Formats: sequence, C-alpha cells, structure tokens
Amino acid sequence: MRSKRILVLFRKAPYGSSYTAEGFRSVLGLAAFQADVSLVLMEDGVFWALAGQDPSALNMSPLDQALASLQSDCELGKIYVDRMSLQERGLSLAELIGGLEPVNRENLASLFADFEIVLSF
Amino acid sequence: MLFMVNDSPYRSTALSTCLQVAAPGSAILLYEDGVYGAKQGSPLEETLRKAAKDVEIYVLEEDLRARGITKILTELKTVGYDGFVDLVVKHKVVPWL
Repeated sequence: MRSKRILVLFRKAPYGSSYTAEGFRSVLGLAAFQADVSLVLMEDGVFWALAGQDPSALNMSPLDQALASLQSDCELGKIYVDRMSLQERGLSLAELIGGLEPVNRENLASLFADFEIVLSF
Repeated sequence: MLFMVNDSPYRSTALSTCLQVAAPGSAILLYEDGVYGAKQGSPLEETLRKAAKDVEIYVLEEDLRARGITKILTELKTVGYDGFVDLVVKHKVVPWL
C-alpha cells in the first residue's frame, strides 16, 4: 500500500518547549514505517537547523544533529525552510545544517496542498 | 484546507503568519485562545477584514462564550462544536500550533 504523503510543520524554537524534540521523535517513528515525510521549518522553527548546538548543560541532545541524522539515516523527503523567517532572524543558509530546501512564503500554500496530511509541532 | 489557530494574537504570531499562508478559498478556524483574534479592536482587525473576502474565517462559539467575548468582527462566522466537526470533515486540516 502506498503510504500517504505527510508534511510536518515546525514553528517553534528548539529547547524552549518539548515540541521540537517530540516532533523529531514522531518524524523518526513515521520514517521507520517508510512513510513519505517532509518537514517545513518556519518562524522560530528555523532555529532548529542552526548548526553548532550544544545543549549538554540542559541534559539534552543536540537537535541540529538529530535533524541532520534524519536526512542521512532515514529516507526522508525534503526539509523546507522559510526564507522570510531566516531573513527576519538574521540567519543565512550557510549557518544552518546542509541539505535544506529554501522556500518562499508565498509558495507555502501550494506546498501544503501537495501533501495529504499536515501535522504540526 | 482548514488552518486551525488556537493561540492569542497578543502572545503568538500564529494568526498573522497563518493569514499570510492561507490561499484564497481556504478556511481558518479560531479556537481556544485563538478566538481573541476575532475581537473587534485587535491589531489584526484590518488584516482579518481583508482576508475574510477570500478566506472563510470561523470562530468557535463555545470558546468565545467561555471568555466573555461578544463583539467580534462581523466578517467572521461563528460555529459550534457541530460546525467544527463539519469543517474538519470537509477540509484537509493544517494545525497551526
């Protein structure tokens, strides 16, 4: 049976709440069942992809590496990042983990339309 | 597509970014603290009025009543839990947490 295409939206910064970590676990679980999963990072969600995180003092694992491992170890679709959110936060793609797909905000609506299920964390 | 917004526009950008993303023909449901966005006199009032021409914007009655909000923008439509269910069945849901 063909699996449904799933898009997972992240709008919150990592570490400030458990949303990002829990969302990561959900994506990992979906990927384990060969689901066709892509991610969208927008607003503070783009901070998840900022390279060089070290939350050891918070007793947490670095979520940027976790995100990168989704790309390298799972058959994930794409990880889209909202360009405007990067601009608003003074971030450039070069500061983020590699392999991301920049997307313009005006194209998000058609992106959402391409997926059968949209989840949010 | 039904965008679901449950946070107050005074503490979250959820409603404003959702309004940027929702394409004409889609719908937005304000529920829980999201209903504060429906109130007359909010900073998003003009944006909402304009958006309501192309996007159906619904507000959950039970959450309005619970919070004592009576003066909502006339361009918006109120729905109860039954209408909420109809919307969710009719549209693809995009939770805007």
